[in-house]
Amino acid sequence: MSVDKYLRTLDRFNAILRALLLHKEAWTQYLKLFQPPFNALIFVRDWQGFVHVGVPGAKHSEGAWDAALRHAPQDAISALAVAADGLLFEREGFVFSDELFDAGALWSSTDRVQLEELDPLPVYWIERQTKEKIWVQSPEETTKPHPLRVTYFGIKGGVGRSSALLASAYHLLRQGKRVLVLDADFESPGVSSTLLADDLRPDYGLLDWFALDALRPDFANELISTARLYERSGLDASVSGEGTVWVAPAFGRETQDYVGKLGRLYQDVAQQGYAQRFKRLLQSLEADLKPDVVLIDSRAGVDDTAAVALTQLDAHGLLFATHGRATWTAYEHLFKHWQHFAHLRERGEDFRARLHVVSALTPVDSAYDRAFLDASYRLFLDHLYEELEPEQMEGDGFNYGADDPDAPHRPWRVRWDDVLRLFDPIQNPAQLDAAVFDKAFGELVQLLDRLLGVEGLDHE
Amino acid sequence: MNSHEAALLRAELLGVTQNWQSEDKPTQATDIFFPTAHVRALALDRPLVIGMRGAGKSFWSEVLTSEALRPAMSRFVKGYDRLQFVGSIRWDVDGGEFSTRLPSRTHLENLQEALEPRVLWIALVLNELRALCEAKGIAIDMPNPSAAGGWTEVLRWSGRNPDALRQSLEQINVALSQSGEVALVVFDALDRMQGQLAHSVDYLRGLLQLLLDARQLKGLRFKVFLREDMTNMPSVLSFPDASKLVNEAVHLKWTREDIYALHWHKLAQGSKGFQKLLSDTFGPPQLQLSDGYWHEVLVQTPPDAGKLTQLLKLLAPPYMGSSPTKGHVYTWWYKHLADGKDRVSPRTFAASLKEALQASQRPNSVSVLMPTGIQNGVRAASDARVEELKEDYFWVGTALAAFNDRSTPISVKEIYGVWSIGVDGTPTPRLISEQCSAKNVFVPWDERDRLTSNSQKLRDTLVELGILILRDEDTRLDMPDIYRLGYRIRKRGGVSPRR
Repeated sequence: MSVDKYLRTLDRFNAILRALLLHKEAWTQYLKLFQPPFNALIFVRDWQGFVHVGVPGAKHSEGAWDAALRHAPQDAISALAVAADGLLFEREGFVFSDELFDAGALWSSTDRVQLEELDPLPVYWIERQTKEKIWVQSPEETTKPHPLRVTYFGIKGGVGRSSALLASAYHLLRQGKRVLVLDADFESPGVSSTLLADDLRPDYGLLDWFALDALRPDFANELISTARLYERSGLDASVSGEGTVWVAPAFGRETQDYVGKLGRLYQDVAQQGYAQRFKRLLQSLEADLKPDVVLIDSRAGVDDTAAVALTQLDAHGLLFATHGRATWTAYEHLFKHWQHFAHLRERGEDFRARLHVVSALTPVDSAYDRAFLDASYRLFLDHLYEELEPEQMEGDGFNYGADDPDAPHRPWRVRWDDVLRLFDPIQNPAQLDAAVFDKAFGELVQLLDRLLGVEGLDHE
Repeated sequence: MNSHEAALLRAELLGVTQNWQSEDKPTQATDIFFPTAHVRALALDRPLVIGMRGAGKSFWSEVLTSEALRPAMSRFVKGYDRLQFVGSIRWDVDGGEFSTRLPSRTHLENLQEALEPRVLWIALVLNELRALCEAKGIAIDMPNPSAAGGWTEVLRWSGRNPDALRQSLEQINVALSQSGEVALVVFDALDRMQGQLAHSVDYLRGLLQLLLDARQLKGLRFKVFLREDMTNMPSVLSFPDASKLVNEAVHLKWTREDIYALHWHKLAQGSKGFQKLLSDTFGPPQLQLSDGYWHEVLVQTPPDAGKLTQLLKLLAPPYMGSSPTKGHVYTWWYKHLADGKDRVSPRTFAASLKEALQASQRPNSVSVLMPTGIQNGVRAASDARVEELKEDYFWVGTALAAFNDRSTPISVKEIYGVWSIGVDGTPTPRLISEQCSAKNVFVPWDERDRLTSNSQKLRDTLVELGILILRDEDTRLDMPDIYRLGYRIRKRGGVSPRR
């Protein structure tokens, strides 16, 4: 039992909700004493998994405390402590706003997610997954105009994700687009090897940028402005026209100590997390190369750090999957995390609306298609779609019908084909033959056109 | 088109839709519109036609039996020039206690001795062909129901003289085929057939057996319009070679393109502004027929999806929101009206179009149809569809009461549980079949099938009607929005709605 209480974190989370509900009236009265943003409770879970509770006011402001919690002054707070149990940070785990240097920043943090279950009681949850000072505010969320960004994400490897990215780059190139490919699969870099022959590899890679940014942030952009971080792909020569494909690989010809740098990659630097740093890198590259489309090969796995490229970059996310229990269960872990702890805005005006499921290695088999669709639909329904009231239609809230061609869960098929076994169209241009290429990647190409706002005559 | 022009055209189109009737009974040749799949449904060698509520069963039986409208068919369907005679057995038009054309409920319930279903049907057919027989000089021994003995005597006689009936039928066939002529008998609204409810499955099967036998009769053709739930019962089709009949059955399908083309065609009949829009976009119509407005873009088969999309884009913005990821209006509209089998009935679309035009009537609307207007149209169509369904399937509401305070998709087991508890101790399926019997309405499943649970029969019927959809290897029940909205049922989602 004693081990379980540390591991059954969702149970603890639910216990906290119950403890708050039990004393809802007392908390409501108490929070009414404060002006916004301090009229709220803030829960922070740190990178170790401990829970900290931020309470407005001063620890010893007996007067206010007693007025609100009249008969049982400590009941509400001790109920919380009991609910959080071993997960409560240190002995107390309660932090009062008056004790903090910059409490306002925390209480109005953009990372906070309201716990809807307790509405109208204002309670927020903040997830701090990196080893940063937990009471630090993350920078204001601003979304500047940027080119179309597409992240290729797989919960498991080996499903042809890199091939699909390559095919996408080729399709966009053919349309005369300027394409930038980022090999951000640092744990298992690959896509750049196919797109760039060894003699084309630039001096450094994205990982070097992160390393330099930690040591000398003022020099980091010099890597980009001196064009030592990217190179034109050999794919470029297969098509004539305005388009081009730039590749920024994970490592370059001169990269040293890859593993050491990788170990430091996800650390915070100057109070910036991995997500913010990645975004800065992306913006610098975009400013320099002015691409029409950025394709990001993302790390695979059930990992919120890997998923940064899906949730934090304002990118469209392609979720690669093959039908199988292992895949769906893994996605379920990730989705469950988002369901509880991600920023979810009304009507899905957030990363959820930019997710697209890709059915990878798809056989020609209706039963397989049906089973895949059912599983994908169920995954989104149970975790990311909004419940609809009887009078709300699909679209009034973020929810879709199973067969809706516009739904995020709608599978875009990449067909299983021999060509995917070793997709290297630079070495083997026969793989770009329309009959071969369209069979495998036809639907993927449709999806890209749609993201670009290109209208074809296809109506699905 | 600027917002002023859009408002003018919208007002004109609204005027046209105001005249649309909820029952679209054809009265003139311009009412006849041919979806691709329906040409086959009218072919003389395809006896069985299946369609959902509102798909056009009574529309076509009306066209086939109308002396005024039928000639227009010969332009589209082969063999109609050889049609010598058309009889009809339509229980909605000719049935009833005081009609003599068909036996009444009293007659059917008071049958003294068992009448083999197939023989009953032959007797009805022969009675329809009586005038034709006289013209051909064929004597019929079967008594006339308008004589003193009435149908009671006809049915009694038929039960005793089945061979004489069969011989008469054969004689007519020979006479007709020798002269290269064809007689057609149309059957419709069989669900309204009175009485004998407990045995209606037998009678249905008897009719289908007759159709199978009659495939050899070249001079005599049948056209039977059936509801989908009536052909979905295993016992209806439990006779040798039934699968041959099912295989060549025609389904009255409407594709998305048919639905759009039909309604643009209907709008074009009454709106000069819309006609001008068509001419400006695709050139003036090439088809010059004496009656009505026929633009080939709207009546060509198969319809051209590209051109129909182009036309809709002149009336509405291309997307349901700011970007293509919100859905193309062309696909979104149809998809959100579709039932569990991806079908939209013309009446449903008409209801949504009417309301969409109405709701787009706003000062700042830049096009004839606005996305919010179309959404309102879908809502209105959903309510209309539910109302419409009540006429044929009053019991659906009883079955779906199990979904109150629950949300779809939902596990099949959970719904079975609620159904088996039922109301006041009566399980829901039993309650429904009792209500059907009390109201003299066709029970929508086979009561004598003991191998299938009643809950499963009810489930399968609802799935067959497109109201429910089975998912996850038949373990979960989903419901398309068109019904979920109309029946006011919550939709499942892992994220609680914002208040």
